[in-house]
Amino acid sequence: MHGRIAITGAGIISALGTGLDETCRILMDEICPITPLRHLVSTHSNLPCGEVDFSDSQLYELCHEDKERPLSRSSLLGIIAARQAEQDAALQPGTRVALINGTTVGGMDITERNLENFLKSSDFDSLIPLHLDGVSTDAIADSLSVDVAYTDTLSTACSAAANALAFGAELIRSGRFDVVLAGGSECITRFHLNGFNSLMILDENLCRPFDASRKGLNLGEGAGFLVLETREHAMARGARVRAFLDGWGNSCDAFHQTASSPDGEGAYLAMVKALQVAGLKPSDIDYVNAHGTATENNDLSEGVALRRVFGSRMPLVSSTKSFTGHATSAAGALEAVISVLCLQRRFVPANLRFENRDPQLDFSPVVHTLKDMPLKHVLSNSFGFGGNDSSLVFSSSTL
Amino acid sequence: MREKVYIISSAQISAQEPFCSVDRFVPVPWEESMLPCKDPDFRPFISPMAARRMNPILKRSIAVSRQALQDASIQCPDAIVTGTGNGCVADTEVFLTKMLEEGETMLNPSKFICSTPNTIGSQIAITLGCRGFNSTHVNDRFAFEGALLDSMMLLESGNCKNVLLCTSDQLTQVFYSLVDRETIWKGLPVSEGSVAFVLSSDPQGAVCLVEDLVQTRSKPIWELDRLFSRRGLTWNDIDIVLTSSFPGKSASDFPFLPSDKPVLEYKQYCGQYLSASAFGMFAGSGILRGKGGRALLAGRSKDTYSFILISSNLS
Repeated sequence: MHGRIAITGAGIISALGTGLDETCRILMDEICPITPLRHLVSTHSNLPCGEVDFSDSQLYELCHEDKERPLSRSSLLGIIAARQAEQDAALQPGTRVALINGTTVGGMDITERNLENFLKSSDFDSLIPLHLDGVSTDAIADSLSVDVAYTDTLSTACSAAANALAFGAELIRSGRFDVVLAGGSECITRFHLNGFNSLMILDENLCRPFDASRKGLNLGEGAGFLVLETREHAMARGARVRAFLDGWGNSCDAFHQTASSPDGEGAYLAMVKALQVAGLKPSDIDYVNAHGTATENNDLSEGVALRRVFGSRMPLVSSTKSFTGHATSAAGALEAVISVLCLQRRFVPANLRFENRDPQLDFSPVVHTLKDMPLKHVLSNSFGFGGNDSSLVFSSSTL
Repeated sequence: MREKVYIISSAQISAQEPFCSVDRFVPVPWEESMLPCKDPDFRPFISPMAARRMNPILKRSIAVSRQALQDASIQCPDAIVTGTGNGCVADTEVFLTKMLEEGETMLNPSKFICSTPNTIGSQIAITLGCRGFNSTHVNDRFAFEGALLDSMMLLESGNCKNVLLCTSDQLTQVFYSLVDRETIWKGLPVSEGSVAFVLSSDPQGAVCLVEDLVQTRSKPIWELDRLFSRRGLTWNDIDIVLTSSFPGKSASDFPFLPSDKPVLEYKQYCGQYLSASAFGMFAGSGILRGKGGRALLAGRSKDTYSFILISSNLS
């Protein structure tokens, strides 16, 4: 068995902004960037969403990509976050790495804008292959300076990025790779905006995770990547360790395609397994970055599972989806990067807009961002449609 | 010490007769066409009530999974790992087309709910009541390889004793009319199929051993040399190579293959689809069950290559 998994680089782009510092500042200052749609063209432009506040064209400029190169918005976001991560880790160009991406929509934004054109004319043929999730991952790989020897794409709906990080950790543990870039990238599309809307789980107002009055989620988008390597490998090359990824757990709720079980069994098992892998007790966890989508069903099921895991010693809990919106397949990656920032910069972000405790949930999340908080271990939850539940445990670099 | 990974059982639905073994395969007409798979009677696997609401890709995935589990005498596996190139494309198309044609206001969520690729793995889990590990790999033409690697790592580490590995892809008219424009799909029988394997770290009842798997985006010869030296092998130890190439194209796809090596191009039996390499491992393990020996599965799409070693020598 190889040693601990060190996190030596991180990159992020979301509604919170671009990069670690901007992300941190918005969380610290409790600014909510969720607004009615500004970039995606949809009948539902009134719906509040956590969009990345750049047009596709601006994203091309931000990552210096040639506009002649067809790229989905998910890939553009992924390129920006993955490049930040490789630079943050000071990886030498040509370093052999695996790139593991979590995404579900892939290039759906391109397909939904062009399907009628695809069927009518051959002028758009170069855009057709972009639809596939795997193609969107390879597009990110082609834009990095490291040598991406292996790519893989995980698609477990809203836990995809968490599973990409867990798979990346296993690649290192098994000795197959020394360095892995893992995370997720997903843009908002009309396709899934309408899917969630038809399920009636989008709030027309700003989302209120865990609040008694919660009415649903706000969608978000973005990308996040972490550079993972063994501690020994990081030390040998003199890399700075931001935090450790000590635990990961995965379980299927096996209850319903879109609803979570009332006893939160899948979520419970995922958290318990992640703690086991980390070799920690529930009481070692200082903060839980919850899945907390703000749907009636998720928050209740997750709350029940949290109580089952932590008993009377509930750690600090918040859902940063109250800042970012729910970035679906990328959510686990955004929240992994935020968890690392919390450990390093000693803060616990607020769960915005929480006012009234739900009588069915006997705890309250963190209402205002807490600063100067020495955190040792953070647990991050990501749960997906189909009951694909995953949890990750991050630990301070000082431990 | 890594645990070993054995193939205990397997089942396929493809352009061949459902659930038949490799010795009964017949080549498909190699011409530009839609080549739908041959569906079995689903009643032994899924209740008619449940089946009525299910897209064919889900029915096929559950059927091959149940058949493979039954053959391995396992009711509920420790983990379910799914590979799919394009997921539940039929339901995705219905929801997308309705949205584009009828607008964004009166949409029914039922097709959206089943559109995500992980619907396959989660429906298998719900059917089996399996709350173990569950993941889905969607990596274009290498979704099977990703799912196999995930399964291997679960078994090697001892985290799981057995894994159900299921791959599925589905053919639709729209998908066909779009991919048929691409040069790499042009002129082919475009097909679909589902394959399931039960993998275990226990050799009891095993068909063969999965020795190793590598996948590389750029350095096939270097990675293959490394694989051989890691296992202490030379080309003399390889009895047959099964390639992802179209009929007659192995030598140009894999110029480093020794010309005297017996080669089987398995797509002559299953046509082209994204997760067809699972069908290749089904064929390879079937050949080893009959003849014994060691097979190399060689996959290629553009500059990405995969190599899987399987052997009837279980030690």
